[in-house]
Amino acid sequence: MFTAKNKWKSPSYWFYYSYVILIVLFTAGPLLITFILAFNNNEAASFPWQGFTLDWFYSKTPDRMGLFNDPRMISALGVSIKVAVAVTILSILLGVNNAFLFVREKFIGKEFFYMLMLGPLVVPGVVLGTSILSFTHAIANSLDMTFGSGAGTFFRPGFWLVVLGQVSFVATTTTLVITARLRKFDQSLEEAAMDLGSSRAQAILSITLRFLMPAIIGAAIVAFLFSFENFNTTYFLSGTADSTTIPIILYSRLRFGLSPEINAVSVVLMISTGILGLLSTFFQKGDDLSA
Amino acid sequence: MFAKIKKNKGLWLVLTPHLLWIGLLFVLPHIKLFWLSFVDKRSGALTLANYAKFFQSELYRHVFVHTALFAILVTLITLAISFPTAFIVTKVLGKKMKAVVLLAIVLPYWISELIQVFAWMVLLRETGVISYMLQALGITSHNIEFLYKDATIVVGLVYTSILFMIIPIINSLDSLDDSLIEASYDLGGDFWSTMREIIIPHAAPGIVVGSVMVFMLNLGNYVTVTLLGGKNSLWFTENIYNQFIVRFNQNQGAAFGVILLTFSVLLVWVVLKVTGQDMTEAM
Amino acid sequence: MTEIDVSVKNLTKRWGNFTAVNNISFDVPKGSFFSVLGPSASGKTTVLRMIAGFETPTSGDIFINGQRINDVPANKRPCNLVFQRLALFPMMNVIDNVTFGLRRRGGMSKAEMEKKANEVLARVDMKGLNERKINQISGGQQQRVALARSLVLEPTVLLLDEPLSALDLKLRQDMKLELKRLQHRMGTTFMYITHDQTIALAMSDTVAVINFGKLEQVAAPEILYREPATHFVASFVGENNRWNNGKVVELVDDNACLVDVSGILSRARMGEKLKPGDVVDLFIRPEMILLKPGKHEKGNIGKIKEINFDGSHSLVVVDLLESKTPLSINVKLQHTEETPDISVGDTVTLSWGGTKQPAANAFLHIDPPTEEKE
Repeated sequence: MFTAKNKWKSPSYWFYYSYVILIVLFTAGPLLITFILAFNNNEAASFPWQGFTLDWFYSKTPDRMGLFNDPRMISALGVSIKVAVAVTILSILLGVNNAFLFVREKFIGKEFFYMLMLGPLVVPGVVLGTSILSFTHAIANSLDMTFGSGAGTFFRPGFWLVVLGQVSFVATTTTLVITARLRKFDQSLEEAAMDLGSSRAQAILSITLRFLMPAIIGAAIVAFLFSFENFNTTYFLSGTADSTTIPIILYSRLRFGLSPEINAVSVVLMISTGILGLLSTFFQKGDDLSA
Repeated sequence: MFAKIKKNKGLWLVLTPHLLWIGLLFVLPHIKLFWLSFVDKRSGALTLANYAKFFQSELYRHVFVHTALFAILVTLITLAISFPTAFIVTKVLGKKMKAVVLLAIVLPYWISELIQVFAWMVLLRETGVISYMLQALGITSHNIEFLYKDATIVVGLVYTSILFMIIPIINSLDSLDDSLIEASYDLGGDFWSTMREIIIPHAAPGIVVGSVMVFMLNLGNYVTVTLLGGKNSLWFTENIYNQFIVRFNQNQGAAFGVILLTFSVLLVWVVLKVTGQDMTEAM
Repeated sequence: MTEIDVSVKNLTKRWGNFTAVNNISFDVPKGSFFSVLGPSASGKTTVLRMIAGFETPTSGDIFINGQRINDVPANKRPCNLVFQRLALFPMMNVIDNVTFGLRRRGGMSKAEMEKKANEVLARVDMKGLNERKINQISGGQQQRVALARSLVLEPTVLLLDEPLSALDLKLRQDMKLELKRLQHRMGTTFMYITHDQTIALAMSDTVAVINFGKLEQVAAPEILYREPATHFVASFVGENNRWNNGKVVELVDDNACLVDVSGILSRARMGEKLKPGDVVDLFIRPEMILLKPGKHEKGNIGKIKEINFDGSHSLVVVDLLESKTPLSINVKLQHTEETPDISVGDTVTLSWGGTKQPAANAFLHIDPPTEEKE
């Protein structure tokens, strides 16, 4: 039987439990080992255990480059954060805008536009990246031709192109999250605020946006994480050092062999994304409770 | 009259940013890609040569079929692993255990795919953890390379896909009233008949959405296949990348991109039609 | 001796420290309509789910047809459950829902199954909608399909977990009568779980009242109403005036006593063993009070405070003028041709407890009131 209360008597309960434990081992196990090996005093990024060390975080010697003394890694971390912040802000603005568009407005072809809006999430990242690359490449070329060399720099691979490329699909996610929340909003609350003397703008700011806040914060965290870990689209659009994000540098390092420094990077990412992930689940839960 | 204009003004206010985003960052780039795929690289004339090259080359065709078949295989394996998990999490575990297990499954997926792949490389490479363990246990006496094999790619892709399958199925199973399962038992049903007639039909939308998402993700995967599969990976996305970045042949790359996109959209469309599911509803 | 279909002996269910069902025993006679009545969270649903096989008793035994079925899994028990929210299978149409159990049982051709299902569907007045999906039929029709789905298996006992509670009032009234007639026609034993006493009293041959996991009384509806066995039954079943802190003055006979509440004397049935001087709560049925306009020698003088008109009757609130402390009482006045003309402020004389039917019941005082009626 499936009911929660009498199941422990049945032998299948043990089967269920072992299965879940195996799955959790499968999903969490490899990361756990990676985590542990970040503190192993062994160049090979593998076992055997040769004692605890923080070298892979702090060492300054050239043969043992600690993560926090590796200028390229630190620079990539900074770029990743900058990109993620820009992507988050733009995607949230677009998400709120799109939510109002799809929930409040009536216009011809709304269904079609909604379907289209889902597109960036469905198209493979490689295709999305290459299509944006070839489109912006053409724009940059014609700008250069019309206004002289350098005029199209904005549309060349680099920081802003990475941001735009990521916004193309991250905004779909924020739109979905914020739209779902706005659908639950009782519009009479806004009308009540206006009835009590607010202007429409004041009503939206003080009532509607406040209602949307848990979804906005949740979506912002998700947007940040999506941006922070994106590789496929970013790979085509990044050029110089100012657009080399953590995933890009990790990819190039992983192609040439493993170093425990990457274990250290993993630890930092696991902890920070873990916290952000927990926060976003927390906000989504708050979303459910107050809805 | 005044009200109508005012209303329209509001519409344009929110429609403009939306159109700028979807138009400039999605529609126009794809039109451009589509256009490029029909243009000759040198002369700029309209041509079908970019597509002809794909259909004439046995290697490209082989890579494409290989990619499609493996993406389907990975989707099926992921489904086979994820469905029981989703079922146990929603229908067997108590509330607290459900939250704990769900967190243990979800948290690893917040981290970058690169780190996930790295974790498997640490385990599977020649001097890796599993090779070391096998030697420590005396099962083998020399290093074993597990990387750069088709099976490794499958394991890696299943690993990076599981969550995208589990979550939609959990969502659909969550909405299954437990009393339906009890009613089936009450009327004489057993585990398998309840599974077949009640639980799986109810979870069908989640299964379809999860499968579609996992299939698309795998078809478009680049990181996992190139890192775990190395030169042997034979994944179609590599061809696209090579044309764009290595050979600077945008037009050929564009044609490959269009082929990949057309195939995946077509397959998803067929799956949705056959199963009678609606993607927008489930998302 | 009547045949017994379901027998429950010393049934107990605990979850940790919480006792949901506490040592309950009762028998359900064959072919009867048996209700289990109790407020929400009283343990009545747990009793039902243990009989159906969805919960395992901590201790005690369940017998169906004289067979102990504790270890028989739910899908093998000769009883079927109509779920509170019906639990019809939305992925199937009407006929597939009804033949579901037959298909599980096997040994019948598809045509035979459908023939049998159609017979039962006809019995519950559900013809011609076989191909409809569950969400395409009305709430009342869903009730019928749920009944047919269980009845087609010819269970020894049909368990019903408040299936009418989801319906609106009017439909509920109709279905209530229909259910009773159906039970009569089919002769199947019905075991009905409810918190709605009007349903339990109207439909049942026997009612078991449960509170906090304990069995309070098992009796026919009239007995339950007139001669409640416990303080809880007196306060839960039917409307009652409740006066606290009365005192037993003397015992009239083996069953009745004289109770003094603030100087007002009443003759009351003793719900439990009482002796002079006991502090008791007095329950007086509002419809058993005789109201006469003006002052009369026999009875208690009062003044009308409120009159609440309610169609066939009025609820009259009367302040008693002769009590030592302020005391009021509700009187239910049937509207007949002989109903006196009264208005607020009138002086009236009330009397109760003097006739053959017990109007008042006395129980040892319990403080504070144990239960709010739902």
